[in-house]
Amino acid sequence: MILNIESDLNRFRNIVRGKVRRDLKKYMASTEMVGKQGDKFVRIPLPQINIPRLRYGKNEVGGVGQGEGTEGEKVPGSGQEAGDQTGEHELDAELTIDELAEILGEELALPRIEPKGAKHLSSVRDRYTGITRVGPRALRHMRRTWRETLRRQMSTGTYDAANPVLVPQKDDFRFRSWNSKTEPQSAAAIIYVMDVSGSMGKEQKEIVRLEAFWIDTWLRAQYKHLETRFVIHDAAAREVDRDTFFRTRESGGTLISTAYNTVEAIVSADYPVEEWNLYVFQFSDGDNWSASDTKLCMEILQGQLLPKLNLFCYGQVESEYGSGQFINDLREHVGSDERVVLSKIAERSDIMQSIKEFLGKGR
Amino acid sequence: MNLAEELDQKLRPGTLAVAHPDGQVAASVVDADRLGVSLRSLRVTVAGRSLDEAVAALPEAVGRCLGLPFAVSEHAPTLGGAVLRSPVDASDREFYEVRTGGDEAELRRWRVAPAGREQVPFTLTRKDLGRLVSGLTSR
Repeated sequence: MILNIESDLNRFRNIVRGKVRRDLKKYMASTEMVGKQGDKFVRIPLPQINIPRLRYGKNEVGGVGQGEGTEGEKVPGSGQEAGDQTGEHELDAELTIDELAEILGEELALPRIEPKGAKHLSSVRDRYTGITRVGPRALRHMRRTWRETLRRQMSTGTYDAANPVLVPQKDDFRFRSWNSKTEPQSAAAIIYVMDVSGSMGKEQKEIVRLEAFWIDTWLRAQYKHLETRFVIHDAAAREVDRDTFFRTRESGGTLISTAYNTVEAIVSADYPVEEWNLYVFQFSDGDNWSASDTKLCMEILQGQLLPKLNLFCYGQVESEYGSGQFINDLREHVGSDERVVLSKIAERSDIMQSIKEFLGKGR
Repeated sequence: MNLAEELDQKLRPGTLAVAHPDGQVAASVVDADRLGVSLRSLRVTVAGRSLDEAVAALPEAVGRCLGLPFAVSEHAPTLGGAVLRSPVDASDREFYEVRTGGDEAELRRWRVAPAGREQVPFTLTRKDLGRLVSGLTSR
């Protein structure tokens, strides 16, 4: 019996999905997956897959290469001895971003996001669902062509069932053609904000990087158009590209209000509120320079930013040194606002819970 | 008598402030005896100049008195201040922090705790306290 390769492929995909599902928490805390992200695919490392292989028995007689010397004798000048342990094999399996988001959504029980602004944005998609009488040879629809030929020959009495020869004429040819369909689409923009002051160490940044990857994955599955912007700040804020966002480390102090002003400027300039679903994810160790700046932050948030956002998420990455006061200030001033989500991330293993807190509202 | 010597004479439990032509010291003293002093905080104001210009030299000056390697964790010239910290002690999970702003430097000690850091008192010998105050005011 010949098995369809599709069933084998689906079985393999199910194994990979099961593996990812089981080890999701581990993957979420690991940078392996983040580093292997493509545009549409994510490579999942599946360690210790044993590939079947042939083992040969011992030949009793000599053969090619059987010279002097005994078994196990070291070859002169061969350097280090060979190891006696098996190597660890690592196999990468590909998963689409959509599949990964689906697993993430199922495992974290994330609700589907209800977007706004769909009526304002639309895109035209071409699909080959139509048939025409003219067209290029490459788009010739053979089944329709033969059917038309048969129909013509039968209606004109030229079809002989005993000798079923079909000869298409020019009018019989049919070609595939596209139909343009306008589809409403919703658009979203995420603005990531990170404190890169001297108190944010390498591990804190790594946690932010991992969390941002998973948030991106989920939101990309929810929106066709997703724009991502990055803002870093110490005592001053500026917009940067993705790479700079994750690599920069400054030594300045922390003025969070400068970041909020920059985000406000980006939103006002580029994202009309009625058309865009706006998300802000801010990460900091919560050690703002002064209480007066914290007061200013609350004024900007309440007066300007929050009314424009679907969601404002603040993740406080724990630092041994920092006071971590900012999350308490946010809780006190805007904690009751349903658009605000606050989360503490003490270590990598907290990333999963933090994402659940951030995206669990379905906004 | 310089500022450090004047401070040494006035060390008593409670809040104290000492003014001198070299600068001022404000301290929250938990306890004091003939050898040492336990403090909750120590604020030194230098006379007539900003400490921001001397930030690069501060880690060594403070570290020498407290016997720990200090590093500038944050330095914001636009804000006119800096934060210097010692490493977290592996045994008691505590560290020193010096915050400077304008002509002031304030020393505190913190303990790393799950709910955020907690301020704790710290003990210095009278000699080390004198050296620290002199070191800061002579910058």
